[in-house]
Amino acid sequence: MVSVKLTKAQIIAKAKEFGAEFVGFASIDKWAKHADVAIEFYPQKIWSQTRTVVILGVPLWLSIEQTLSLAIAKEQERVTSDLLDEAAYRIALFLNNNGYPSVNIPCDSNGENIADFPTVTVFSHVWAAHYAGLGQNRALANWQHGTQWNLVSILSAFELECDQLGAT
Amino acid sequence: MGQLELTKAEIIEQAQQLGAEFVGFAPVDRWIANQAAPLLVHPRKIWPQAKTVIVLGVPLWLPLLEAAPTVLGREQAIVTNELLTEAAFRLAVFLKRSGHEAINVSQANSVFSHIWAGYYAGLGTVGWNNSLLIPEYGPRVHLVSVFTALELDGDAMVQAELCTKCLYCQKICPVQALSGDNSNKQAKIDQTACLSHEKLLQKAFCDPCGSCIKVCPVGEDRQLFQSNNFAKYFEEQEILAHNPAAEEYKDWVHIRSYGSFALEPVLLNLPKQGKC
Repeated sequence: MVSVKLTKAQIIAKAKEFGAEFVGFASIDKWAKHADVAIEFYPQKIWSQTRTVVILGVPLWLSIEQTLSLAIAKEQERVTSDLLDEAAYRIALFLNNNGYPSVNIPCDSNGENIADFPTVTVFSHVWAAHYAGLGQNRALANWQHGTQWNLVSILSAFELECDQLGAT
Repeated sequence: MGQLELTKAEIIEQAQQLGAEFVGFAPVDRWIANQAAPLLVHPRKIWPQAKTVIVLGVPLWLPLLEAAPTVLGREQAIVTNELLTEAAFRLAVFLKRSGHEAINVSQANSVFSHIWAGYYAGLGTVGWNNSLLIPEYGPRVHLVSVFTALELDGDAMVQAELCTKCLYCQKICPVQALSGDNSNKQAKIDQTACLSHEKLLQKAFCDPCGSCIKVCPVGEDRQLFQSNNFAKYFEEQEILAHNPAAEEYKDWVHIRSYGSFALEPVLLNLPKQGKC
């Protein structure tokens, strides 16, 4: 395992190669600054080496509310989750190989058929994407306002430099 | 179909593009010459045309294994298995397209050992816990194999034993499935105990167990993930029994609290009630 200095641009290029459409970065400071979620859900509480969360997203064409076919909506979710999970794993591998310890958190970590807690997961990709600027991201100007996204996160020891802080 | 000449370098490049991190080559003669693996798992017993076994591997992340049993560990296993299965299938297609017969052998099979294949392919050595240990990640690696009729040079096998025979794996096993001592090359596994425990974890959505691989001190990943406090594994039950909010275990307890059924009712076969 070597230590190579990586830039955001290199990580973005790699993630796009793996199929991500949105690639965002959120410094862990944002969780404490905004205090939207309980402390135990902060990325650095889940894994202490975390300095930055890398978020990947792909658009969903149809929300379940927009289609009469639940099967199509579910299949769309499955396909996008599989794509994102593999992309996130490979980004974590890319970062680890370059000396930045990283761990990917899968899209669906709420178990299966656990009706009591269908929405609460170990870590919220939604808040992570919000802190990474999804919704105000100029690179996504082609996407219609209100587009729904499927998301995944990578907790990483990669640290953003000062000029890289803020929305991507 | 005409045959294109393929080099090992071209096959490695293709496998890495498909997501494999480790790639090794084992001529099938090694199963006979070494006889370390049971002959039952000889590749030619599965596919008589096989001349070379190509073994692909991807690592597992120690921080997720350490928190096990969790839904994150389960998802990690699913993602890496799917990635490898697809990579192996596509590598077999790549070989076939070049005119060389090939088949991929799925991970979930009871007739062929990817672990011994990894050993013969020079990726690492087989540890006391019966896992393949590799220098970079110890036993924290998932493997899959592709059989091909193409004859290729084998990679040099790892000569120095990587296993230190610390027997931490035996000590941590929740169902005491590993027996023997450090005079044995590998432990004897009580398959019934191991698999029964695994099935219970599956019911709780927090499989695999992974205890014997998380505790292994071999692997450069222990430095990468700054994890060398082995007492944390062995003192966990006692400390959490006295103080479920113990600071040093808060991360693992949090991760276990979502996405899986409470383990104790499942283990006791009681009705399931919400989260851990």
